[in-house]
Amino acid sequence: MSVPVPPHAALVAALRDARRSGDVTATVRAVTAVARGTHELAAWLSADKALAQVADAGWARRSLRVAVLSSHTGEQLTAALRVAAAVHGLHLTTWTSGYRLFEQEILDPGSELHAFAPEVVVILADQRELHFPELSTAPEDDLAREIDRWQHLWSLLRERTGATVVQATFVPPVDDPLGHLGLGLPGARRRQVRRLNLALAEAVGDGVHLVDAEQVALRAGAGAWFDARYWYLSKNAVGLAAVPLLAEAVADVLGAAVGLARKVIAVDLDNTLWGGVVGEDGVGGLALGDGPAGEAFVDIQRFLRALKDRGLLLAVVSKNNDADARLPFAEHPDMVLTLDDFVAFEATWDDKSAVLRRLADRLGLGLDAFVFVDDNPVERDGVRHQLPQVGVVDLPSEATGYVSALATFPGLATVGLTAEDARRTDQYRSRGRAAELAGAAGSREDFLAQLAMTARVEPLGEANRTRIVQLIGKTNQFNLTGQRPGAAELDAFVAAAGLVWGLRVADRFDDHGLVGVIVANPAATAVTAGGVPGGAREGDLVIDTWVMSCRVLQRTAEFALLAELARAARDRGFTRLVGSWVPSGRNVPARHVFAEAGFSPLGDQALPRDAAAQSAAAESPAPEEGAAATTTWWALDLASARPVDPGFVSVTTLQEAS
Amino acid sequence: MSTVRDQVVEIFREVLDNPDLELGDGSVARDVEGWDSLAHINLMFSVEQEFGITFSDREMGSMVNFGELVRAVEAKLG
Repeated sequence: MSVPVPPHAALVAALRDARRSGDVTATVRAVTAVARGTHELAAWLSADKALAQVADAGWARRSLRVAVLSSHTGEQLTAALRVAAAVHGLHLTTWTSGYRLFEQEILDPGSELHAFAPEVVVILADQRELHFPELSTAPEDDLAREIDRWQHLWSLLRERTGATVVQATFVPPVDDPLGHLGLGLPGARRRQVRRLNLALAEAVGDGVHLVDAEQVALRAGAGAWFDARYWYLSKNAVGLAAVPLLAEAVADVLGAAVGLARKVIAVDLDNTLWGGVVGEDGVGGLALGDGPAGEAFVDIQRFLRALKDRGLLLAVVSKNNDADARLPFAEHPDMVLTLDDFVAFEATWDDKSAVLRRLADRLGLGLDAFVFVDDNPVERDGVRHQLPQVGVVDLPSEATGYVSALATFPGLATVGLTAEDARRTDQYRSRGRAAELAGAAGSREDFLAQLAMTARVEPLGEANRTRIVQLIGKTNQFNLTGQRPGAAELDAFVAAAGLVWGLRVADRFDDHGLVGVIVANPAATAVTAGGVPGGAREGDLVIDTWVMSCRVLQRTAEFALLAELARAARDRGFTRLVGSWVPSGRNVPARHVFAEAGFSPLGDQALPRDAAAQSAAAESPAPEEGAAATTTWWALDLASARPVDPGFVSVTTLQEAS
Repeated sequence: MSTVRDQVVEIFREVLDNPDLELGDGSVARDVEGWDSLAHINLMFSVEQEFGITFSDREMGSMVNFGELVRAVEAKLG
């Protein structure tokens, strides 16, 4: 079957050629071309890999260590961010938080986030993270609590890491059960989300910047942003089609926050600020003010003036006779911009690159502070080649698209940020808010205690069989043995006095559902019993399978489950609880669970408990991949010991009779 | 113009960052370096985007080899 070649194929082919050539400048330029030329995720991922291949970051204006804290699946966003940042000349070294761990990473001073020592922390939390009911009975309290929550997280990050914080605002879901009432009804979730965004925008302090995610969602379109299929399939809270756009927005704020925003817009005149050529058509023959094209030129002038009012500098760079070029400013009634709006007026027949160089000298700015706006592709190419530092806006062929081209150009969206920050910093300080927040508690223990977690052990049954089999099948990280029994095997275990348990976990905010499974069998029927060092004994209960969803990792539910299993084992007359960790290359997170729970190592291949705990701490944040690791075996004498359980999760057990 | 198969191969090469990747009908995830669960999501999404098609929820989870994927795309275009 034959189909047309997609438009971004040429960009990807150019990227491939550049990589093969090994030329760093050409490769980075090809990456930038992909980032500016397409929003196809596949092309962006390819560009990201190309960047990774460039070992030397000498091409960059600046290198930054950036931690991306994503409430859900964040890997694609991090990859896209590296590409979008390259457009600004930023080289990023990144670290991405695990699924749903972003808050704990901030609260726990010993977390991987802190060990990474980020210079910038990007927080991409989905609106699903907000604790707003569909219709609140206490909207003011709910709102105040969320404002405090995010401000507290910012202040912890600022105090402990000194990192600049960039947070995306929350996009209210488009499918709203309250419909249009969601706008005005007090306590409506949609209204609350919007109020929170506004409140956060007012609350940002020194070193904290917001990305207006709702604006990005509008640009991407609701279909791309709220992609329900990939939410359910892979927990991508932001649709993959919108990820490059969000990355661009974050990179823009990032660039501005570290002082890389553009400062001067150098504009052409003929067919850029007005339609027609003033030297030939005369002032009366220009398209400006009347008709679709004329109105579009008025709007581009308005847009430029608004940028100027916000702090950007405007300069004219036109090939013209100076007197002709000034005529419309003096005589045309529909001109929005005036000569006073420009810091420089260069209407000559000189090469435009030479003029830009001259301007940079005169204004005392680097060429990388300039953006060049010209309708003529030949002029644009000339500047692009002679002055690669200058940002060149690719204006579309029709004036109706000019405003959008300018509005989406990297480095223009956030100018003035630094000056604004200074002002906001003062307000922030005067309110004494910083001191107040600094006093607030923020340990991981406090966080876990505040969660008020509860868990329920459910023996295998009709209602949970599918979920239990599924969880065993798909869990890789916290998977102790890699044993993945199916439904029939599980039923057989239960028939032979084995324990097959599901664990449901809830906290005061969310019901996480069935997120853990443990399968423990008497020595006689245990699948893994043959490996027990010194041999399995009668009276052993052997943990054949143990998986926990990454949703509840670091919540200590694993210890609560183990404690409950030990209690049940003792009740049933078992004398020893035995478990193993079988390295799979991906289950390093589960490696030390038995040691931390107070189990003793069996056989000589296991590390003593203290050494294991120490090495667990030392391995963070770059856990070894388990390459050299071998299976470790662990046991707990049920007569004399109980598993260590920090006690943050209160567990109940559902009776098996159900 | 190009064929559906060539273009799907091209998407795999981009997403898995292997310009020389060759795929046969029977190619499955575990035979192809880098084709892990995250890459699978990126692949499915990129194929959908490029051809302007939508896989059913069932297809998303059940397509096991490359040949099946190409036939599914062709069926939807066809």
